[in-house]
Amino acid sequence: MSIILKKNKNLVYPGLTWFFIFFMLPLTIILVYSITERSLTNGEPLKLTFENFIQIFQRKHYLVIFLRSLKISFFTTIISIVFSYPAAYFLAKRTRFDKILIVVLMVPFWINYLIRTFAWKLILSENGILNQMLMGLHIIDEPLRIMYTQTSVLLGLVYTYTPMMVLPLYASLLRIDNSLIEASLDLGASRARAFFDITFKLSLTGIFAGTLLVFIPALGSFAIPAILGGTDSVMIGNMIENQFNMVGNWNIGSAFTLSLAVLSIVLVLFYSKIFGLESIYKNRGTV
Amino acid sequence: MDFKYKKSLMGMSIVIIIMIIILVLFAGCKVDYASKELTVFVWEGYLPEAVVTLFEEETEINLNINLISDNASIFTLLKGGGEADIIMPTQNQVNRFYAEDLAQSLDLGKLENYTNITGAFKDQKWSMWDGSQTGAGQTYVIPYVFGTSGIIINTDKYDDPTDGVSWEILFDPELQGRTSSKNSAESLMVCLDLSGIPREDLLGNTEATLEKIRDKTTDLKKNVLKFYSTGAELLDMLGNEEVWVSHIWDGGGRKLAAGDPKFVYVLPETGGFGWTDTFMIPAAANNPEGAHLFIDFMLRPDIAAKVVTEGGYTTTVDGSLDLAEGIDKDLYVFEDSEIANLVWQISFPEEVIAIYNNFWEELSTIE
Amino acid sequence: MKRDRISVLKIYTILFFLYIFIPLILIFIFAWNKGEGYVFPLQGFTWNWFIEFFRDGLAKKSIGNSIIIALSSATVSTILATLLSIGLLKGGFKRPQLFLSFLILPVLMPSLTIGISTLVFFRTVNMPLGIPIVIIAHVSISMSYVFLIIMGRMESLPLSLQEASIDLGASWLSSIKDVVFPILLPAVIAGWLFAFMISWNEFIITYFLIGTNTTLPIYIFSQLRFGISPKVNVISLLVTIFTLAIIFMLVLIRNVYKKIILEQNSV
Repeated sequence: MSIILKKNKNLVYPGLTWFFIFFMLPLTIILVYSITERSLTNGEPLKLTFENFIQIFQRKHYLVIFLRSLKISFFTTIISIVFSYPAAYFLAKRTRFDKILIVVLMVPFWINYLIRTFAWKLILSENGILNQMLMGLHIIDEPLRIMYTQTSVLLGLVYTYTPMMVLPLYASLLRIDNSLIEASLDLGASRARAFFDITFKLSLTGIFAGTLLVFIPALGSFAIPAILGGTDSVMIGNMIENQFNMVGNWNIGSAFTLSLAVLSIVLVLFYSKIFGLESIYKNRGTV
Repeated sequence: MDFKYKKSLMGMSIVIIIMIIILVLFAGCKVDYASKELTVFVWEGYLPEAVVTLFEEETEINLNINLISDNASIFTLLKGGGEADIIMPTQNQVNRFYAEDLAQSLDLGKLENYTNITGAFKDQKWSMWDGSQTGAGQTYVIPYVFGTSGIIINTDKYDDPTDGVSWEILFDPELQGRTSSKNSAESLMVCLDLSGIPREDLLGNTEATLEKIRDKTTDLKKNVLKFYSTGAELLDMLGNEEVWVSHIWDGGGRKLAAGDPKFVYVLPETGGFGWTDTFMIPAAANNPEGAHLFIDFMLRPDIAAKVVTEGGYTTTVDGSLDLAEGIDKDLYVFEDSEIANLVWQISFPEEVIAIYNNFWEELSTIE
Repeated sequence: MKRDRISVLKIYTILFFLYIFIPLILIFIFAWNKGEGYVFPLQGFTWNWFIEFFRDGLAKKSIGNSIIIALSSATVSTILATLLSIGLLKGGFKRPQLFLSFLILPVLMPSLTIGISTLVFFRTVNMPLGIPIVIIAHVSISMSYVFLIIMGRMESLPLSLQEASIDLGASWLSSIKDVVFPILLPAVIAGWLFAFMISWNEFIITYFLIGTNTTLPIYIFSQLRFGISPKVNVISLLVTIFTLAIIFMLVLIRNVYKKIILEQNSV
């Protein structure tokens, strides 16, 4: 057994080497910028400083935006789970065509996300499809003004990150052995109980992976808040973009990114602790 | 046995990575680049294919065309080490490039068509830099496409007369939640102008000057539906009537007005804002010779006319409008008084820009 | 009773698919809309945008570049990530989650930051910009996503399976090739598709590293300043049709292949 392990271990070298050289090394640039002032290319001697981080915590509006981003990303994730779960379940358990359907599901996401986001304006704006439908059915008298609020950003984010949630959920549900469910039903459990105790629990890995793939990128998104959002829906991603591009302060931009990265790593480790560390790579209920 | 495997796999991966690095280095081997290739970054629509073909035939230089998405990105790109032979920054951003030593001075001797530029645009302050200030020294940019920014009004929704309108219309309480302005310091400038504070005051005590317009800016924020970041989204907001009155660039105004006469584009009585997209040669350009050839080529009236025809943009080149075909020329003619009245952004040093951009960020991102 | 359950789920899934496809359908409709911009009401029918697209050399070139970059980066990153996940999760590591938290970095960092740092780093070591470097950067990022996808499938792969095959006389290499890999195959394919999607959509990093070329996202984003041309809708339509055609063909091939195998077996 140990020989197999040792040989398997060697397989990591190509990927890790690549990752290290072409991703981790460039990131040191960000690290350097975040703890220095001014430009690296100026020729001035580098001064180590934590001033950038202090600045970030001092600016009041950063805290507001930060909490707001957490909130929006959190709700995006929850809604995404609730929305995607039944569909992923159907695909995994109730149809023969699941493999084709999953691929078909991915097709809209081959269209550039910018265009899909603009298309959402056709749905959510005052004279958009949603309002026309609701007014036509006389459910409302006045068009809803959802655009340029946190709601529209939320809807846009949920939509954009749907495949990130559906895929892992589907993959983990696929693996659950139906005989386990049958066995529990035979032993007298109600269908609901069987679902929650067995299916849901075994799919937690998928939920975990899906949450990672949705919550964290949503936190850093900026195009969707920029197009679908208004003044009250600007997010961290927009701030970072602003600092790098408009203000031209790479130091603060880097400090920001570093803080975001550290926060996310903490969240991931914390989250994995809740789910049990092994849930990342072991299924709790596999026979 | 497994030691062999380990070594071979590790060795294999390192060899592969080295091979890739060599490949990349080779791929970038710019043999003869110096004279045969030219990398240009232009705004979409500024370089019709016919022009590209003509240039390549005449000069035998291969044009590599890349598209600019926004000024800030191209600045970041150059700052980070990206390369280009020609870029087209807008005039209110050029001093950022100067200050970071990202631009090189132009050899006007190589640009015989420089004389074609309309008088008003020759020797603009922002095109000159002496190492520490704009307004003196050598020429660093050539203005090429220009336009105005003003106000667009949906007359179906706004009954009052459209003559003599000023930026104050964006604050009109009857238009609450139906106006928009640019999501940038340009809106700060609007507030400064309306408050009667000269923009030069920002050069002195920037923070104090900004504090004076904090309330005005907050008023603007409360009255707009949202601040627009891109032209595309603004056109949509006006098209589906979510926004009725807005700050807009002339091209957009013209487009909407041509599509539906209910739209009216006017310059505010205090003067429209001028904008110019310029040609700049980055300091690290690989082919500055070719770049000069390119600029000179574009300054020919017949070539500039093609830009006007295809893209619908106004150029600074004399005669380009006359030679253009198939457009309603009345829409593109500016009266001398209008040009004289245009308000041009002052070139602020990078520190001042950072301060007012941060101020804008603070105000525009929370309620 | 069970039938009721099934149809509720089925209806839900159908509605779900509709929800996913609505923006797509809207984009398609606007490919024929006379007016510009994404606004109602529709302005009339026209083929103009199709004609303009076919005349647009830059648009076509950018699509070509995107395809090359996406195909290459998807393939390389899938290979690397597959090997990585086998090695990391079945290689006797005591604390793989440490590696995981680093491998997640591309997922959680804004692409702007990755783009800038990669640009600065590579320029500092004097690597030339262009398509190869873009492919390299795309691989680095999508590798993490593919890893996460394959990681999920790892669980149905107890080591005992590998051990059993070796006990039966297979070499280690063969146990990987013929036992582990086929089980992983669905996840690998899903990972490849995902990596392709990521590269296809990637804008900012590509923008900074591509040097003299254009890709489709760059082409699209460049239109934000003055207004998005409906040519983009035409492109979206054509891309979708093309993709669906390929899927359809692959399904056909698979069914034909299955039939051939069946016939061979029955003979």
